[in-house]
Amino acid sequence: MLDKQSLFISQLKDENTRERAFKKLVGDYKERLYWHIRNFVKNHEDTDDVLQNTFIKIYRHIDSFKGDSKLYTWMYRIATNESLSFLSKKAKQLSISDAELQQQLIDNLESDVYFEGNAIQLKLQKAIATLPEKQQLVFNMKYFQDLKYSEISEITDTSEGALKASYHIANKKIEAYLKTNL
Amino acid sequence: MKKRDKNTHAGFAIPENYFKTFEERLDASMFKEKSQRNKGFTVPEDYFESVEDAILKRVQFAQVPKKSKKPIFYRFAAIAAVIAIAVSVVNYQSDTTIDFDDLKMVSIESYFEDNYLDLDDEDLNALLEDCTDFSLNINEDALFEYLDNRIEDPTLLIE
Repeated sequence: MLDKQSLFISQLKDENTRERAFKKLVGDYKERLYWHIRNFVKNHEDTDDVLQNTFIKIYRHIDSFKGDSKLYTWMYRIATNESLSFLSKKAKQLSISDAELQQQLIDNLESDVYFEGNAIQLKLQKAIATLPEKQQLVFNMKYFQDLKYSEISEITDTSEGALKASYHIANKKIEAYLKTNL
Repeated sequence: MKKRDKNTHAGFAIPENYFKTFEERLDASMFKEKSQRNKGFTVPEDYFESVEDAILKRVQFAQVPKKSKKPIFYRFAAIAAVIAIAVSVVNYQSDTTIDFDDLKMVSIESYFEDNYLDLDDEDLNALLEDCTDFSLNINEDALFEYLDNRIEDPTLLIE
């Protein structure tokens, strides 16, 4: 007998039930994936683009999903890849480095109508922007989204041990940044 | 004494499967609260309602069209037309072979600029160094003529 996820996946793959199942998928995951993407991309308009592209990709590639991982970790992985490749493309278009782009994204936050964070929250964003990409990835998923290490491990294809070490180092760096910049 | 129901405590009852689904519901509410509260990021009003429609519309455009139910005659006619065009294109191409020189520089530039080739500036510089052969013998007259045609201020050449 098929479990709940396998049944849902088979509905997504079946041409007759696909549209309905996909609608449910979008309804269930749009907010979670949105906030996941927003952590990387920072501004709303770009997040909206990446979110839509993520769902289009999920729709197009659902047939290739083999069920080795949970459906939502597979979707998170697509969203993560879409976010990172979007940022890399943006940096190339602006002819700036990834670190410079991070700085620019944070600078723009101060005038962003869709950012209502206080001084501490802005400072935290600035601290995150100083981290290497991998540490940002782990920190965002662990601190803001409270994902389990086992889930982050599936999404990033990294061992739990390495993730714990990354998160620990990221915490230390953020703590040091906040102490010296407050 | 009446045996206590396993789902009751001192007379209080709970809905069926309450504890089984508790973690799931708690995770969902914690996630929602945490993600929206901690960072200061907000979204336009009704965004999550409208984005669903936008995604579903884009997916409909991306769908593969269903099989045509047109009469078989039209299908054969279409196949015959495609073969006829393909044959004429192949014959035409056999006379005009395209080589590297036929590529316009602007096409090559846009190929790089649009990031079809995943190379950063360092990679490109390394490639350029590998490809540039400075030992070429260049005819001085040809070089002068080339520069003369392209430099706006010819006095620079004299210097």
